[in-house]
Amino acid sequence: MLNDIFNILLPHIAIGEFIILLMILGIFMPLRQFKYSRLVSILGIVTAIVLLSTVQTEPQYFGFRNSVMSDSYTLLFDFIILSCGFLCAILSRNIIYSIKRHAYTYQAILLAGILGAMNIVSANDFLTLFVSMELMGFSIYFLIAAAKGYYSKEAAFKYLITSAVSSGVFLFGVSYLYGITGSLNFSVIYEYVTENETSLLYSVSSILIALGLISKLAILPFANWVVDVYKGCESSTLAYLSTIPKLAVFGIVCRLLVFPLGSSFELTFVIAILSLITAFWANTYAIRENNVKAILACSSAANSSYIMLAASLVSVYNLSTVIFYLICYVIINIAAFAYLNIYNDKNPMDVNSFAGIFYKNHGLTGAYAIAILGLAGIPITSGFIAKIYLFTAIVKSGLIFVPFLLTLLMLMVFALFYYLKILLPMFEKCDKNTDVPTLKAVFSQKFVLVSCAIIIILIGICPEKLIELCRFIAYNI
Amino acid sequence: MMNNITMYHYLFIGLFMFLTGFFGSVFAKNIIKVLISIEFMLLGININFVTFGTYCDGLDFEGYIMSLFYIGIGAVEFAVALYLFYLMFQKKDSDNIQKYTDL
Amino acid sequence: MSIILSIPFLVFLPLIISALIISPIFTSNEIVVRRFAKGVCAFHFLYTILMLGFFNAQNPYISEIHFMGMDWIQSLGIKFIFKADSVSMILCALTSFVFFVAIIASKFNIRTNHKFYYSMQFLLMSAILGIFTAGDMFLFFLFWELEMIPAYFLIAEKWSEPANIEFYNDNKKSAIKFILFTFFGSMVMLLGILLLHYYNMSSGGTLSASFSDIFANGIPLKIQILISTCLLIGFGVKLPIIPLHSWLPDAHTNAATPVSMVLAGILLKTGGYGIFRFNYQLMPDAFKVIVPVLAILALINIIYTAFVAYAQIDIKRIIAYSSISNMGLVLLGLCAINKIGLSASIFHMVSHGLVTCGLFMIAGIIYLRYKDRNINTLSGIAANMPRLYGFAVLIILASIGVPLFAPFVSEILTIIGAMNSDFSFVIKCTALLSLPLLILSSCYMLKFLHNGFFGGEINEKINDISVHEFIVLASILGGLVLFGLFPNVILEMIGI
Repeated sequence: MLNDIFNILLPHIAIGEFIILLMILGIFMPLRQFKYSRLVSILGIVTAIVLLSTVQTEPQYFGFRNSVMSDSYTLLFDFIILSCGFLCAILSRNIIYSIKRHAYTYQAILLAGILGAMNIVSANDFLTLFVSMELMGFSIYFLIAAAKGYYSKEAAFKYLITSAVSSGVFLFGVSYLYGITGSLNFSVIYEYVTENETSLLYSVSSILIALGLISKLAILPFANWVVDVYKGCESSTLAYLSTIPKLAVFGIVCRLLVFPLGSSFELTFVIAILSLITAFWANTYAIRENNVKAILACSSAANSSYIMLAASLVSVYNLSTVIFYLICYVIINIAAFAYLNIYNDKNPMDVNSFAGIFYKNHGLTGAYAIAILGLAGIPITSGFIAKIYLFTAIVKSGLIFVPFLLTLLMLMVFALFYYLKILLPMFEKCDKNTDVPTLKAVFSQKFVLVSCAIIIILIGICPEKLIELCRFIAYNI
Repeated sequence: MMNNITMYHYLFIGLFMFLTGFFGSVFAKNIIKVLISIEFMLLGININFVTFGTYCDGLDFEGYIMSLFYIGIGAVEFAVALYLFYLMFQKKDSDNIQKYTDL
Repeated sequence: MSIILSIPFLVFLPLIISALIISPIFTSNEIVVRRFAKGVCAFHFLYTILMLGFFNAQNPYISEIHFMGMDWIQSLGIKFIFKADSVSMILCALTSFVFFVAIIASKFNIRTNHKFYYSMQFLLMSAILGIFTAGDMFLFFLFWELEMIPAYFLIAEKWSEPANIEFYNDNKKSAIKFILFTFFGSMVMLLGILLLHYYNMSSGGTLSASFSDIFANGIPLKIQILISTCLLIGFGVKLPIIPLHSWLPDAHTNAATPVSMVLAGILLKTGGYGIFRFNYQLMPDAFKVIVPVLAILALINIIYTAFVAYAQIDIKRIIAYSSISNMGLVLLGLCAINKIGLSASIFHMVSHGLVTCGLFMIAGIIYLRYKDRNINTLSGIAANMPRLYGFAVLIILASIGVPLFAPFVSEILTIIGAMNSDFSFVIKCTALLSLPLLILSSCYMLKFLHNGFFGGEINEKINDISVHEFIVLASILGGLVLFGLFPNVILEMIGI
């Protein structure tokens, strides 16, 4: 048991310790020292990143009666999740200033979500997976609801209801899979599936499991929450919501699709078609929207459907493209929401309220424009490389998927339209009478935005090292 | 007479409860009803787990553990949902789900 | 020599200049910016001519850039490689010339926001040069996409003080239309490139996307046709081929004069170049199969848009439709699939680039003086501006295809090439049927000349053309006459 802890769980335990520390501090620290809560949680994340070096990856390590595992794949995902958590914790400045009394609790919940996400990726057991998913889910409900005002509560409630229903569907699938194979452990299920003939019930249960999981990624049928929740969220929470659950769930879905659910051919088609429908829905829905957050919500649903399409056509090559796309996408998203955070959520989020903002804030708006162009997949950004790389994966999967790819590419024209809808008003010249806000950014927010923008450009210019890393990870799963 | 009750009877009850809960949660207009429906889903799934744990899994009883966990987590989920509903209710003073469409 | 005369310098010089101009350290003084831009363009043009002088068809310029000792995307076989053969070099020289002329012409048309304007012009220049010299499919695609950003801003912004606000909104709408059409095309093209990249590898080739490593012979013919069609849709938006053309008249009409010059002079040629590079060179088998359809589309392009151009009353729209018509001729030359047709097609790109530049310049000069582009209300330009009248007559005659000027040679050669194509009867028919173009083009162009220039009374306020405009028109006319008298300069370089 002790061996297990020292081999895999040290980063998780570090995060856990800091959660407890933050809760204690929340009780005993005087109110006016709420600012330090951010420092404590950043310290915790950094400690966890450092402790990642103790995790054993070669060979794969299974601990706690095979319920938790670690290899280079989980290590990479842990690292990305922690880095995103780091950036989100930096961005949480505004919200902490608005809820001074509960600042420490807020940070503790934020860390708990990260802990859940890390656990999801390293789960090797449906029980662990379920418990850590709920851990992440609960912390997200609270993070959403923490913002002041009625909208955040409604958003949190909607997210809660959809999550509850989808986790019900997920568990229903798990129960049948458990009935078929007699175990909840991925390795055992994989062994059973490869040795025995699979039945229709197996396919049905794996489809249910997948449906339950991908609702967190805003893929239909449980995707309706995405626009409402994004509209009601505070922007630093959005940076969190649009990266960490996504990373964690994609991490586990890819593993599930390769191992325990890999023998179901129907699953591939169901997921591929669902992601195609989602891409269609999200891209056409966003055209009508005028709220920046809603447009970004649709774009997040659309992007996860592209990734899901590539991930559903299971192969090692596809896996590497999925990881690469995820990394690029996450960085771009954090940059976009960092800008919205600087812009401040109290201001209206209508696209036209950004009119002319470029002429007062060159650097920050330029960085934001880079991020949006990255989402649209315009060259010299990482989005361009990521899209090309992802689409090579779909082409490789066979001639049947060419119509799928063609549809996706056509949808990207729609996507460009709504990204332009975000971008163009910012470069519009307006009269001298209207007052364009000058953005006031503190160093930490600028740091997140600018460093993300630089990384986007860097990956766009020389992506080779990162691609190699992704390929290495994918071949070692 | 007891001998006639097989695994499939239990599974049927589980399926029935799950479907009731699922469609209830999708179609109900009252928020409390939605929450109750989610509890129905939970119970149906738990019946499944316990059944499979009894009939198919001789060694580990993982199904029982899973159902225990799910009962706990479901209770917490229900509590959180009720609290959020309480916060929303203060503003709207209604339990009709169609009133809560500000976003 | 190869170190000094390198393509990366040719391509990235404008990019660096663009970054320099937009950066805050550079002065925002209007005159300094404009002179600097002119100087850089002149240097660039001379440099291109120098490269052209040392060009050797047996040993084309190739250069490859590595990032940290690796290819650009090594795991996909994508290299950052530039390669310029004779066609690329000719089109590069044309690009450099047209931008030079356009930047000289910018003096009177650009009134605001100089730094941004020149920066965008150089960015567009860099992207177009990149398209012409890219040696790798994905690099080609990168520049193809990159070109959209500056093109959008150039079309959408109001560079001169707006006469009324409605014009400005038209600008933005047509720019968005342009960008959506182009993006649609490039997405379909991306599908083609991805398929070509994958099937080239799976049919026994290497994992590489550079043009020299693509051998389409091993790919099944049906897939080749699929790929070829995808690519054609992409290039067809830019060229434009008829159902995909509707962005062009709007964009050309609403843009400022120098921008229209660049758009019509160079941007359309990237489509023709793409068809040559991909469909013609890489996949000749599939191209042979789809050529009859393409030839008919080219015929529709030529004849239909000539009629449409005749019906227009806006000068710029007439010129825009005439350039669609001429691009149909370029397409027809490529469809011939023989040496004459190909060289004529490239030659026609050059000559049409020059002609259309001159025509847009004339339209711009007229609009600047009269604030009007309607040929029914314009009159008496000849009396007010005799020098402009002289240039206009010559350039319009050139565009009609009168001997002594370059378009005459290229049009006749194109049709001869198409008549000589020996594998399909359809091409010969289309060549015959496209002959009325010569009459139709003279109809609409002479209508423009007749309605606009003659009659009317003398208006003292109207000045004749200034030195800048004189230089522009004279250099364009010089080029037209040069290539009209010595077409072998280009035809020999193509080496066909």
